[in-house]
Amino acid sequence: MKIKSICKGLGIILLMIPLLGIQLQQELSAKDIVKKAEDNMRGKTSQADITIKIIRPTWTREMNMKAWTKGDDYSIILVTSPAKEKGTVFLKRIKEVWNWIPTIERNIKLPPSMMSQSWMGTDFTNDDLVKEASSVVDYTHKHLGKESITGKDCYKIEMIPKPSTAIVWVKVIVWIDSEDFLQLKAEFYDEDGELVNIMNSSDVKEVGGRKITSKIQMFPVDKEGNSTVIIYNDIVFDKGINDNFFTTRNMKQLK
Amino acid sequence: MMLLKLAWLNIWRNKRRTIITATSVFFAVLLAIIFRSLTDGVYDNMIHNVVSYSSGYIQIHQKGYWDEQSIDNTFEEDQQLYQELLKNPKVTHIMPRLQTFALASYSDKTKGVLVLGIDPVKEKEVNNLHDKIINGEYIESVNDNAVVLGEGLASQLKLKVNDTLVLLGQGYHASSAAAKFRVKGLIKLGALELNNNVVYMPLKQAQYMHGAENRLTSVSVMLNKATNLEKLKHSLQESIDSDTYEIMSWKEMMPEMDQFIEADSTGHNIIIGILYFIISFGLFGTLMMMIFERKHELGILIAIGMKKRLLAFVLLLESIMISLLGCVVGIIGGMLFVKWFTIHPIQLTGELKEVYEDYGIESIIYFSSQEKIFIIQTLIVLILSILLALYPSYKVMKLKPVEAINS
Repeated sequence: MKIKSICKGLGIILLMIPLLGIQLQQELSAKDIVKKAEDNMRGKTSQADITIKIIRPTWTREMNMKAWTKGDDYSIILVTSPAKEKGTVFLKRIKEVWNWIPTIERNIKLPPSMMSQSWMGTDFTNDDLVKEASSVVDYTHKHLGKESITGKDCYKIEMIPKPSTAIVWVKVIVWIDSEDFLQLKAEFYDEDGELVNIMNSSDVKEVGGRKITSKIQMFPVDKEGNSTVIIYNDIVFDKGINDNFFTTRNMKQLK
Repeated sequence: MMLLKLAWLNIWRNKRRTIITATSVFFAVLLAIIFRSLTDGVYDNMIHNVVSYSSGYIQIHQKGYWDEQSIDNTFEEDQQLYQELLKNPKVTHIMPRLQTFALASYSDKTKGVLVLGIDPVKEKEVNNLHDKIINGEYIESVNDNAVVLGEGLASQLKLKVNDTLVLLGQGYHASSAAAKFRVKGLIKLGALELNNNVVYMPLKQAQYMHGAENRLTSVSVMLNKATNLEKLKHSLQESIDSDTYEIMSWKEMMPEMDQFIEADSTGHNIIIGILYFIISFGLFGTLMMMIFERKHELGILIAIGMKKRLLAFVLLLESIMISLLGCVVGIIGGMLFVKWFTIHPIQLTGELKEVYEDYGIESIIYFSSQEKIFIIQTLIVLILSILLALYPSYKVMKLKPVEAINS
């Protein structure tokens, strides 16, 4: 779960760092490729406007949110619609997650027991919000060759977590576009070697001056017809945000 | 025909003997009926009390709800369904409900609770919920913006009337359910599980809180106490759309209570078996006396040419007549008895009353007046007495006329 945590939950909102004209070499190590892809999604700060769609066999639900992130440690999400949940705020500060619910005027710190539960009814867990494992440092990487995903040439890379990390997956396979260095697909395997989740990233678009995958879709393999789609409507990158912004006090006045 | 007449005349030749025998049958029938009626009545009363707070006799859900009791498996409130249900004359009340689990919090205490969205008016007609309020007031309408808490839950949360309860749960289609409510009253319920966990919320508020407008998890159906559950379930099943709804009886929803009753009534069957045994011996005694007294008479009858077979048959007819007489009077007596105590139930007093009330069961002894009891008990006694009457017949077949005349 750690490796692609960035792509999930809050992490998804992280922005890409410009490649700053780094010249690509012909042969990159698996680790370099993953690092590039991760760098594309990390940034100093970001402010994003997101739509999340929960898709179930018999119904769907759409939520709109605003999200602010700063590095890996800070992020804050404000629900802007539907009306009933408007004003609900999630704050991630280092390893803590707080949830402000305006209708009951309570700020709840999510306990460890709730971490494996669904976040806002989506296919992401609360845990996905806080895991800050680095897909570069915490895994060993191996080239599995090249494959084409939706017509794009991709590096297929196997990532095995290092024994010292607390990653629940035994194996993660990622497909990274060999041109833009964006992760297009990831597969998560549990300790029995079973495929658990598939994450597809698509709709590469210029948003906020960057090329990103503006649509990320999560499929839990054992629940047919279930998925969660995250769409980035707008992102502003690298606009300075003070650390004070990510406080429980600010959660209550966020608009 | 002649034999019938003969038997009839015979039994009235010695009125006292006949009356004594008939009386023993009468008491047998009466005792059996009262005993069964009492035990069944106690069960019926218990079931009625328990289901009126919990599931109702019969519950209707969205198909698939029982296996996955999530708010996503709710159904739209449907007036047509209500009408369809109420059309059945055995159905006395229906109670729409939205039932979920949530976290309840007051100051620094938090606890998982059962949230029951109810129609307060319909509910109180069934189980007199408003009478169980020990503090504050009952909720008045489906729109009332307040809740009533189980007294045990309130004391665990250290909460009093007019405090604000915070509820947080899972809403319809992954929405979040969070709301604050004023606590309007505290309610003391017999069932500990309810008393320590329940939050009664007006239905409309519960629906709004869960983002499930006009949706219900269940419609509980209340019936007359003595209704044939399975038969009614079937007839209701036919009247509603079985593709949309599932229908379940309390026996399916609370199998542990059904099993308890089953086990308990096995004990009662043993007692009633012993009762039959004693009755049989009483009856047997009178029959033996009768054959002994009439030995001389029977001997003469055979001596003057009455066939033994026919004589045995006459004796059998006599026994059946006497038993029937006893049974008929017994049924009438039993009915009057049960009727009297149905109209004037026995009110328990003292400690027993407290025990009953602690369990949330009305502290009365209620007699069941199901026709089934009368028929079955009477039939059993009748069959017993006919079996026993085979003995005098057998005696007659064995009778030696000379010895009998001389005895």
